[in-house]
Amino acid sequence: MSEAILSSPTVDSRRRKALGFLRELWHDKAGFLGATFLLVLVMTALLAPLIAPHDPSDQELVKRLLPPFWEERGSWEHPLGTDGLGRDLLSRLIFGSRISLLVGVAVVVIAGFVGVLLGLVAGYRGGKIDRIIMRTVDTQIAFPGLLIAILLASLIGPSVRTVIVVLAVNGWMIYARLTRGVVLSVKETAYVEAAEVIGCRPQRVMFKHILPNLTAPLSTLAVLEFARIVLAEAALSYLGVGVKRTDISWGLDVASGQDFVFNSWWLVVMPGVVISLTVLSVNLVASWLRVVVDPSEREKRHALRQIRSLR
Amino acid sequence: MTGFVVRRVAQGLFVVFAATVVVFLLTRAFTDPVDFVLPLEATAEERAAREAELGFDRPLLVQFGDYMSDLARGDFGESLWQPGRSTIDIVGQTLPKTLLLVGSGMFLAIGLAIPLGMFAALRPGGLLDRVLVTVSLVGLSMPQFFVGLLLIIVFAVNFGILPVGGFGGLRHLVLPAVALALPALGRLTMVVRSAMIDELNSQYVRAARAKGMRQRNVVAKHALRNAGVQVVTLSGWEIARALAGFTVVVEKVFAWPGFGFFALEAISRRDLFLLSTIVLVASVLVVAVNVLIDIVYKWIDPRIKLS
Amino acid sequence: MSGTEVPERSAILEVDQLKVNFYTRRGVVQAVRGVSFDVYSGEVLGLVGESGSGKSVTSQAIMGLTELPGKVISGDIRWKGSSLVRGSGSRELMRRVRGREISMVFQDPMTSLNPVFTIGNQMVEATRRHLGLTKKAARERAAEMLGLVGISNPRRRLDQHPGEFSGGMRQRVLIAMALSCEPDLLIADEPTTALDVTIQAQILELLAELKSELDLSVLLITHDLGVVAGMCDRVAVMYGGRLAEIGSADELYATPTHPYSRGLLLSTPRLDDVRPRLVSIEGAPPDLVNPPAGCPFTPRCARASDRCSDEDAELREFAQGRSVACWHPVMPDDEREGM
Repeated sequence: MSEAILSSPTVDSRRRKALGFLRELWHDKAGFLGATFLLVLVMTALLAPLIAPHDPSDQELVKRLLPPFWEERGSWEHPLGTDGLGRDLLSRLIFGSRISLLVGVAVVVIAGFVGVLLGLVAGYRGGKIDRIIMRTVDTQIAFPGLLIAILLASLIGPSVRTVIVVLAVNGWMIYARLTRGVVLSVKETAYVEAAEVIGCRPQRVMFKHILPNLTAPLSTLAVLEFARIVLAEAALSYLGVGVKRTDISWGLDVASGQDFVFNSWWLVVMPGVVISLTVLSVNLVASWLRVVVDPSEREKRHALRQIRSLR
Repeated sequence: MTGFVVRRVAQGLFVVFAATVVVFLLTRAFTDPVDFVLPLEATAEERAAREAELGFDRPLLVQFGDYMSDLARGDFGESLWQPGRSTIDIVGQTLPKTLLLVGSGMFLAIGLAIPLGMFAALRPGGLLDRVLVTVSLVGLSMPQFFVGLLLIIVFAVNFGILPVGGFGGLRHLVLPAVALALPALGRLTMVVRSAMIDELNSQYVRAARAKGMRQRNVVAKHALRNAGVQVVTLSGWEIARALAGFTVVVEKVFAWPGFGFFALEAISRRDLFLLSTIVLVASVLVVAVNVLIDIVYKWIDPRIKLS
Repeated sequence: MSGTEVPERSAILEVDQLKVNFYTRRGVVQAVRGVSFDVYSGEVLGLVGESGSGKSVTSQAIMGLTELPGKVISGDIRWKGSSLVRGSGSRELMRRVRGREISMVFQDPMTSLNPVFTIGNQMVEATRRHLGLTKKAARERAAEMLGLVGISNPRRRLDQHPGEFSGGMRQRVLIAMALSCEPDLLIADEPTTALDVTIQAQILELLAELKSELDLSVLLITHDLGVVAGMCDRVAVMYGGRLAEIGSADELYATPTHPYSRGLLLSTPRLDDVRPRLVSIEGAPPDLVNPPAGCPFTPRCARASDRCSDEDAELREFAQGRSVACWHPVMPDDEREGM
C-alpha cells in the first residue's frame, strides 16, 4: 500500500516538473527557436543520405562555382551553388552537420566523464590526491590550448579522431573544477554535519546531495562547452589541422571557399552562417537552461511577465 | 601581498616548465624529429648517422637535459624552413605584430564591453538591453574566421575601402582587430552586464538608493567599482585566450604576419623546431598574462586587502 | 512624554489603504492588504509584527524601494499632504524626499555599506547631493554626525573602510548617515535584529537620544516587543498583511484588545512570570497567496466566531487614539485574565 501511494506523487511531480520546463521553454521564445533548430539539425544529420540532393564528394568540374538559385547563373539543381570542384554546397552542408554534432557530443561526453570523475575524486578524497589533481588542472588550463592542439594535430595528422582527442584533452579541466567545487560545498553543508552528529555515514549523505546539486550547473556547462567545441572544430578544420581534407566539415568548406571569396561569396557565407546558427541555437538553449534550473531566476522571469501583463 | 606574488610567479614558472616538457615529449613521442631534418629519400645509414649527429639516438632523459640547457642558454634551435636563422629570431620578429593585433583587438573589445554592459544592466529587460544581449549572443556565436571573412567581403571586396590582408599601416590593422574583438566583445558584454545586474541587486545599492542617490550615480560609482573586479579578471582571460589561439585564426584569415601565421607556415613547411619554439613562447606569454591578472586582482580588491 | 498639554501634532506621513503584491511562481502573494496609519510629527511609532506580516514591505513602499517581484498596486502614501505614489508630481517628490526628509536604516549593517569605499566617502554622498555642501563642509558634517552617534575619533574613522568597524559601530554609522541631512522621519527597519543583545540596548538608547535632540519622528519596525516597549509612543500591530490594532504604547501594553496582540504580549517571557510554562500562540501565519476572506487571525483565535471567518473587520476607533480590527476584541473595561 505504501509503495503505491509513495510512488505516484514522485512520478506525478516529476511529470509536472517536466511540463513546467517545457512551458518555460515555450515562454522563452529564443530558447524555443534554438531548441527547434537543433532538433532539425539532428534530424538532418541522421537522415543526411536521404535528404541531400547530391553526393557531397561528387565532383563535377563542368559545374564548378555555380551561385545559389536566386542568382542569375544559379539553378534549383544546386540550390546553394557549387564549390571550386563542382561539389554541391547544400549536400556538403547537410553532411557537414554530422561531423560537427559528432565531435561536439563525443568531446563533451569524454571530457565531461573524465573531468567529473577526477573532480569527484579530488573533492571527495581531499588531501594529496586533491592537490595533485588540482595542480594538474591549474597547469593545463594555463597552456595555450589552440596552439598545443595545432601542434598535436600537425604531429599525428588530421582526422576526426585527432580532433576529438585533442579537444577532449584540452577540455576536461573545467568539469573537474566545477565538480570539485560542488563536492566541497556539499561537504561543508550543515546537513552533512548534522548527519555525522546523528551517526549516519557522511559519505552516503554526501552522495545523496551531490548529484542534485551537480546536475544543474553541469548541464549548463555541458551545453556551453558543446557550443565551444563546435566552434573549435570549425576553427581547427579551417586551419587545416582538424578533419582530413577528404572529410566533410563546415570549417573545411570555409577554408576552401576563401580562395574564391572575391566572386563566389556564398562558398564562405553559407557554411559560416550554418556554423553561427548552430552555435547560436546552442547558446540560446544554454541560457534557457540556466534560467530553468535556477529557481530564483525562474521567479524573476515569472514576476517580470506578470507585471508586464498588468500594464 | 609580496608572499602571494612570489608564490604565484613560482607557480607560473612551474607551468612554463611543464609546457616545455609537454612540447618536448610531443615532438619526440609522435614523430621522429629526424624525419623532419632529412630529405625523404635518405637511406637507413644516412638516417642513423644523422640521428647520432643530432643526438636523437640517446635516451630521452639525456635529450631532455640537453634541450633544457640549450633553452637556458637561449638556443632555441635553427629553423628548418629558413636555415641559418635561429627560431627565436623568427619568433622575435613576429611577436610584436601579434601583440599589436591582440592589443588593439582587446582594447576595442574591453573598451566597448564596459559601457555597453553597464547600459544594458541599467534597465534589464528593456529595449537597449534586449538588443545588446541579442547582438552579443550573435557575436559570440560566430566563428572568428567567419567574422573576418565577412568583414573582408563587405569592406574589401564590396566596398573596396580596406585592404584584404597583409601587414601595413592602420588600414591593414582595422579589419583583423575588429575580427578578433567581436566574439570577445560579445562575451565580455554579457559578463559585464550580469556582474552589474548582480551588484545592482545588492543591499548596499539599495541602501544607497535609500539615501536618495540617483540611479545613475549609484551605478557609475558603487556598482561599477564592485563589478569592475570581476571584469578585470575576465578581460585578462580573454587576452590570454586570444594569445593562446584565436590570433592564429585571425592571422590566417588576413595573412597577418604574427607568430600564429608563422606557426601555420611552420606546419606546412614541416619546420618542427620553429613550431616548438612558437608554442613555447606563446606558453610563456599566456602564463605571464594569467599571473599578472591574478596579481592585479588581489591588488585591487580591497576586501582582500583588509584581511 | 510628560506635559499636561496635548501638543499640536499633525500627521506628516499618511499611509492610506496601501496594497502591495508580490508576483511569484507560486502565485500572487498579497503582502500588504490595505494598511492605513499615520505618523505624527515628533513621535515614535512602532510597527510590530512577525515575519511575513508585511511590515518591512510597508516601510520599503514608503521609501519607494519596492522592487521586483513586488509592486504597489493601490492605496496612497502622503508626505506632508502630497502623494508620493499617485499623480504627476509624485516621482519628483519621492526623489526629493527620499534620503533628505525621510531616511531609512536597514536591518543588516554588514551589507548596507559598500565595502570598497571609505565611510567618509559614503557619508558625504548624501549631504553633497541633498544639501549641496562642499567637500570640506560635508566632511565636517560627517565627522559631527559620527560624534553625535558616539563614535570616538570621528575624523580618523572617516577614512576607514566598513570592514574595520564592528557590527554595532556600523549600525551607528548608518544611523549617522541617515540623520546627516536632518530628516523629519527616520524609518528604522529592524535596526537591532542583527546585533548582540547588549549592543541592541545601546543602539536603542542612541535612537531615543537622537530623537529628542533632533526632534525626529521615527517609524520603528520590529518583531521584538521589548524593543517597542522602551521607545515607542504609539504602536501598530500588523498581522497577515493587515493592521490588527493601533494605539498608544502604554495603553496597548496595559490592555491589549486584539486577540493577537494579547497573544503576543502573553507569550513574551518576563522576569516576574509565575507561570510554569511558556505560552505561545498555536498555529501559523496565513498563506498570503490565498488570503482568507475573513480576519486572518481566525484559525488561531480562541474568540473567533463564524462572522470572523466570513468577514474581515475594519479598523475601528473605540477610544481616543485607539483602534482595533476585530469582531470580538477584549475591551479594557472587561477585566479578564488571559484569553
